[in-house]
Amino acid sequence: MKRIKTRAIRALLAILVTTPLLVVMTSTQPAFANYFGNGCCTFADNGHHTFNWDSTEYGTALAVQYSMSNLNNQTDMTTEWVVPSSQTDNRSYDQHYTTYWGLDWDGSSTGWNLYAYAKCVETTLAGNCQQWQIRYDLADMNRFSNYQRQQVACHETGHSVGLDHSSEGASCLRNAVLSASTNYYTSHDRGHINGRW
Amino acid sequence: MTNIRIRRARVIALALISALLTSGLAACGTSNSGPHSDGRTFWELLTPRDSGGSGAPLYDEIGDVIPGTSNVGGFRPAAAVIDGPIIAIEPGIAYAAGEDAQHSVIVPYDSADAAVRFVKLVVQVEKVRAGKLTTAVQDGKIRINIPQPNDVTIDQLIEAINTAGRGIFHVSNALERAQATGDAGNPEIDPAYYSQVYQVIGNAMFLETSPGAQLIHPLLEDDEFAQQLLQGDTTLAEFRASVDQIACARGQAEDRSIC
Ligand SMILES: [Zn+2]
Repeated sequence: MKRIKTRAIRALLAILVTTPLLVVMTSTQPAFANYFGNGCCTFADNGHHTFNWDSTEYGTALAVQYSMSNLNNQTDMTTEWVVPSSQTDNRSYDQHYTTYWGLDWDGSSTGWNLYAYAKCVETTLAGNCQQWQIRYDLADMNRFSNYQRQQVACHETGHSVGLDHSSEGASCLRNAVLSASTNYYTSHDRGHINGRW
Repeated sequence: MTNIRIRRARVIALALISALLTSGLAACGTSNSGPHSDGRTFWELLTPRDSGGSGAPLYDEIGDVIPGTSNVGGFRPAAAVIDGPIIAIEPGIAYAAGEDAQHSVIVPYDSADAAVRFVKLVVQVEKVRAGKLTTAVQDGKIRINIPQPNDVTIDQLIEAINTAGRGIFHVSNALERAQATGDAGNPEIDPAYYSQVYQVIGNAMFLETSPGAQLIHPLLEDDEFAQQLLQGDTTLAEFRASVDQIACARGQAEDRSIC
């Protein structure tokens, strides 16, 4: 598949950032849903989350862009597309990964088919994350619907600000992400984020 | 889980032995509570704090990873199921951060460029419960390759080793597995390293960190899925009995006297 890396779709997608999303909130608060910062994933270094998806295919780029718009609109954090640098908070890549970073992407040994993986590759002196790299497996992304790609991007973006897996059925941070009923954060997830930023 | 199996008298006997061992060791004092790095146990140190993924399981039940089953949906079972304690930990392989590429680059374990590191769990094989260990068994020990978070050091892990515990591991030699799954040509699969380590198949590694304690499953992030595999087993003794039952039924028990 031809990789789209043009700047042309950027302008179009940038409009999406400023478009408020219709978000249905869940009213029930579970006793425990997920950790924040002290679970799988260290905090982002600040409340302004910069990102870049230049390296990804169109479908992945759309999903990442959606997840950043969602973070911007659903929470007190702000997001911004930037020219990539070592300071960029969230950098997305996609490939047909089989083994990458020594991880078994197709699950042929681990029994866990990895759709995407977020890794903090640069930590600040304060122990927060300077840069998260998010890698999406095209073997999965290319067979998913737009909505499913958005669920995965919402999940990984959540990791990149510090959210751990959620026990709530409505959260995109649900461990088996496609079994989540939504492609956005619950009020519990938002409470974590807005309590910090 | 609805599917709690009816067990044989042997299970009760094992549970009793396990309970006796527990009380016996507890009376012996603080063998398990030596100094560990800033108070964190071995598995707390190894819990990821710098990574998170999303995905889905490719198999349904523990029998799918025990040797002797036909491939389930293309997923192959482990070559062996082993039982024993974790006795040491060693530095493993590492990979650079990389940019947009299909493969990452192997770098030295101590390299500042390493984004992802692995360590080797050294397991003393007390018993092969099912299947066969084929290669890279040294003095009755095998080395298992597992990921290491970036914010802990090998020295911290070595210091906490007495909280690593013991358990049951579904394993295959990593190089043989890569050859079987068609991944051996991948430049990340370093044959020299992979031939010397084992991989946990299906992430199915169930441990007790003290005798009779509730099982933990550090490689299975999805607890719902882990409980689905355990089918109500909560201790190593119970899980061992379940594994033996399947291995015996399939004629895969290394030691037929357990059947
Ligand atoms: Zn995740």
